Amino acid sequence: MKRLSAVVLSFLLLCCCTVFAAAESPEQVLKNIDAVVGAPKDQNVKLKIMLVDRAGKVNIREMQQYQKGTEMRLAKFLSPADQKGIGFLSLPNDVMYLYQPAFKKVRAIASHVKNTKFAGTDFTYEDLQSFNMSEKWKVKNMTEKDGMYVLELELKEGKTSDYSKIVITARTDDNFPVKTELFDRTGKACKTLVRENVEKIGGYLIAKSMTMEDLKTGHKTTMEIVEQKYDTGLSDDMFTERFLAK
Amino acid sequence: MLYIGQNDRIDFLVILNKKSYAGEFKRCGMNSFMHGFSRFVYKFRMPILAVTALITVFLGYELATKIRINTDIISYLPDTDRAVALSNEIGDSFGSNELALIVVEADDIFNPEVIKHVDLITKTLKGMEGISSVTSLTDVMDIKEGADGSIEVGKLIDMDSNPDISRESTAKLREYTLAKKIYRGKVISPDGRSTLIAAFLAQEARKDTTAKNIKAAVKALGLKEKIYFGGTPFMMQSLTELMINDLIRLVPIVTILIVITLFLSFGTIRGVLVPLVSVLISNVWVLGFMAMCGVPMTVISTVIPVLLIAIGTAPSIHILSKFDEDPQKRYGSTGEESVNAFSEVGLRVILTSLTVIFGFTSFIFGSYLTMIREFGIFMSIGVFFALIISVMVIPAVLSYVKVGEKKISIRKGPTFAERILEKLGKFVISYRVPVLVISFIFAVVGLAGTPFIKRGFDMVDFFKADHEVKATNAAVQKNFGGTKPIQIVFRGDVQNPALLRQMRKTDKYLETVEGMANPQSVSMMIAEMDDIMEGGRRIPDSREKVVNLWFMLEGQDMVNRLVSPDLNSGLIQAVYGDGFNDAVMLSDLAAYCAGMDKEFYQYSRTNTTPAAVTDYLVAEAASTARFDLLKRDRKAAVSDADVITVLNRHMKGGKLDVKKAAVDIEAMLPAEKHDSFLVSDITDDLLFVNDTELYLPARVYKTLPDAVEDAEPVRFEVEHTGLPLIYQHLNESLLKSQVESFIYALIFIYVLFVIQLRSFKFGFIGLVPIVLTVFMMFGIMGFFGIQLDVATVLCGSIALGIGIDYAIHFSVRFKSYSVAGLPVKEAVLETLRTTGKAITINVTAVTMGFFTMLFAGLVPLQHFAILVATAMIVSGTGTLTTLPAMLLKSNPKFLGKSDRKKGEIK
Repeated sequence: MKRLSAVVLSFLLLCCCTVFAAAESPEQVLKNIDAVVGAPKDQNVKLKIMLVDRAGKVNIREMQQYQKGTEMRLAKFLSPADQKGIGFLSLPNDVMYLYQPAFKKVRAIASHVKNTKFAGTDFTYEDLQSFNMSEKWKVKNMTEKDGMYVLELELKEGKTSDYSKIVITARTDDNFPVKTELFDRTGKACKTLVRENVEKIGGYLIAKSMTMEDLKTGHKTTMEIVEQKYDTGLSDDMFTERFLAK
Repeated sequence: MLYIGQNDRIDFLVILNKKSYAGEFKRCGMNSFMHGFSRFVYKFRMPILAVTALITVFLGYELATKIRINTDIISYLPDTDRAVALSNEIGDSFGSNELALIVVEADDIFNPEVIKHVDLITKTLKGMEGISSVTSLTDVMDIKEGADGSIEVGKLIDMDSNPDISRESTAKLREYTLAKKIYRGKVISPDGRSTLIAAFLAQEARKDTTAKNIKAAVKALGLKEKIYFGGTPFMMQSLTELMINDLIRLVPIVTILIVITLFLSFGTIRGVLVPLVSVLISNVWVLGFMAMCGVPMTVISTVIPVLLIAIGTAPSIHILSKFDEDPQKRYGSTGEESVNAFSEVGLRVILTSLTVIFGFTSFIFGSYLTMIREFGIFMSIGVFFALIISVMVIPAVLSYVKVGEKKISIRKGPTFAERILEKLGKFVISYRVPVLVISFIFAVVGLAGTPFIKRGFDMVDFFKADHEVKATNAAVQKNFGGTKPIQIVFRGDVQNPALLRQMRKTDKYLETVEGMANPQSVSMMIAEMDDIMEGGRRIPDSREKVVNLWFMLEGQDMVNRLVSPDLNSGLIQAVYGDGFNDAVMLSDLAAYCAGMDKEFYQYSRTNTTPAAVTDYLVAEAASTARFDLLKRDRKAAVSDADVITVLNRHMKGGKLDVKKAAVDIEAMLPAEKHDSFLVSDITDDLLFVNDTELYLPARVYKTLPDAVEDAEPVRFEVEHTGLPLIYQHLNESLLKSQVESFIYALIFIYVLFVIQLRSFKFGFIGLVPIVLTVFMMFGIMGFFGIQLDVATVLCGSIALGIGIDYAIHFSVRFKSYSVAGLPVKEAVLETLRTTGKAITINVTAVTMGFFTMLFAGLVPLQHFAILVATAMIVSGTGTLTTLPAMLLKSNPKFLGKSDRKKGEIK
């Protein structure tokens, strides 16, 4: 009898857990998405950046990017030759620096230029920093269909953004966001971010290709991971002005 | 054109009146043809009417659903035109070549509420179809050095980051914005009371529709500030509205005039309705055919419906008048006279028709301008349609109508008009030499006025003085310089300092040009950034530095508008105002661009640098600094040599004392012309004199002893375009069109005249009155300041095509009297009494038609009306005076003997 009770209890517990899991709150789903995207402790990746204009003309650049957590990032351009050495450092609290090798000078970039496009790409500084969605956005509506969550996000009170709304489509099985639609202040869809070639590397889900498309201009930017290392124990010293100017 | 149609219609009317349609034609020559043709029409009248109805419904549907109005001036020139091709290239490479300007006026633009409204308009425009980018106070790039030494490339006012702006912050902003010359007079008026929002239209956008949408969207915001809409797209939109209004208003007015004229001429309802319906059907056909072919209505083709209706009345009067001459012939007991009458006018009808068609085809061969060619094509087609309708459809309709006999009152004795014309004839006979001398004097005076004809094409001239467009342009021009875009393209590596320096210098040159304002280029932004990096608004001395600065500009809307995506061409965009001398500005600009150094070599300065290098640097700095002086005082009597002297005074050991030199150069202008930017502007111009890494023009570099033979040069090309240049090309082609189409028309008409009169000499004499008329018309244009524009350019050939008809009627009639044996003087008197009367009524009717266009909203159409109506009066008078005087003076033996034998008075 005891054994039967235990089985029934276990079964009920399992049911409860399943129900609980199925009814995971939208806010939790958003946090899960953030956790998946920002999972690596640090990363050292070589990126191939392809800028594609409406006519299909491609402009290619290469960049070495070091990232620790979600808030410290240092990027150095490797090519084209005339941009080689230009460096960019992003630190918590919207602190940003730019290194210009021809002048041999590091300059701070004002924090309020976050809606400016980064180096001719379709990513603004805000886009590059916005891997932690739940900090700024809350879920207004969530639906689930064909193995995908569709989360409609609205801005939290007191937060500012260049966008009025974001719609994220994420896989229900692993919370990986495959598509992000960004809406301008008039409520029109203005940009789309698509994450593709998702692979499990070192226990992390990594999209080896990320494409941001500006729907108005038809311009696209694809960032492709060419080389990658994760959790190599990058030191905080790498994320300094001194290292930037090296 | 409708001459023919209505001539034929009337002939058929007469024939049908006598119920003699079924065939009493003489079976020979032309008569045989006419007879056969009439039988054909009668036999197939049902299918003819059915096909006509189908065509009318089909083309009516095409007209209603597909007709477009094209007011895009650029498209009036062929795409191969250099100014147009470059403008299109700019649209492709830089995303836009058209600017819609919105000016917001308030007591203080920096009032937080007004700024919010400016932002609201900006965001509304940015979200609209057809707009590629927007520049405004709340969406303009700002480059500045932050308090912590940071470099800031962002928005001047970032409403997204700081939506709750306060009075205090806007006070600081006001001070900052007005102190920065990249904003003052460009985005904000110097008094801070008006601000400019510039919307760049996408290349593929329909400009008039986008302009209409912009107006509607901004007005829908319900803002309390005064808002003006300026620039070509808004002008195009107003033009479209005016064209539609003109069509809606003018067609009924012309129709009413025609109804009155036809009623007075025919005296029956049928006589009014039949010709009227036929001209309306021909209008539906020709406009529907245009729509079907995808050819839009232009400023010029608006004239087609009015012209088709207006000149169609004249021949009706002519023919009726002929039958009135001897009513018994017309309504006699047999149909023979009617048949004879039809036969007599048959050939004349066709020849007159060909004359008019050829008159209009002269525009096809003679014009470089698409819209004038299209006008020629569709006007000719319209005439052809009218001919078809008149000779086939109208008789077919009338064959079903039960026709009653018309009561005829036979007038006894000459009418008032006939008495006047007889007196005129006697006067001409008595004073033929003075008449010829006076005609000659008129012709000479007219010709003398030709050089004074102003050639002008400016869209703003299409509008009347009190039109909103003029007020708007004036408001924009007052605070922001103008509305007409000027573009200078630099083709080459836009990140190269040599190119950027010439670009920067050209910016400064443009500021010295009267009427020019607001030059913008990427060189200005690079200079602003370099000021933060190195001190001094200048172009850095190396390409690497430029690329480093560029990194922060990439992706900015403003940069995308001024630099092509492949970085192979850069643009200077400026605006030009109304009321300035475009021709001088364009020739100066062309000379400036042509004279610019466009091949440079890199050169590193050493202690033994040749004097030629320093001399070049000093001369280059001097000419740039002089532009800064001329910007403040266009009449400043300062030459490059004067500035060079000052610079050389401050050169010590190959180094220039920039600060002292700048102060001394400033002193070359009187104190009242100084402003707070002058010294710093001059300083910026001089800094590069002390650079070590240089770019030297080929003309200097190749003379240097240490020049490297196979050094790689930096080359670029410079070309300019913009609305004033496009206008200039239109002007030039307008004159070419006028001259060429006139010559073509003259040749065609002379040939047809000779065929009709069978005499080269008579053909020449017949041309005299109309040529005199055209000379007179040119004189009127020259002396009364009516400029040669898109509409008036048509006058010469239209007047020639229509006016020649008077000469044909007069000459043919005169010849028939002569060959019948009447002495010359009597033949002249008789012709004046008969055909002269018809010509007088004809002139009155056509003139009334053209005067209708005085009510047009478009100014060129009003000028067109005045000129053609005047030409018709002069041409009619010339036909009734100069032509008989010439006939009297010439030898009438030119009439062939065979003609004399078989001749009879008709």
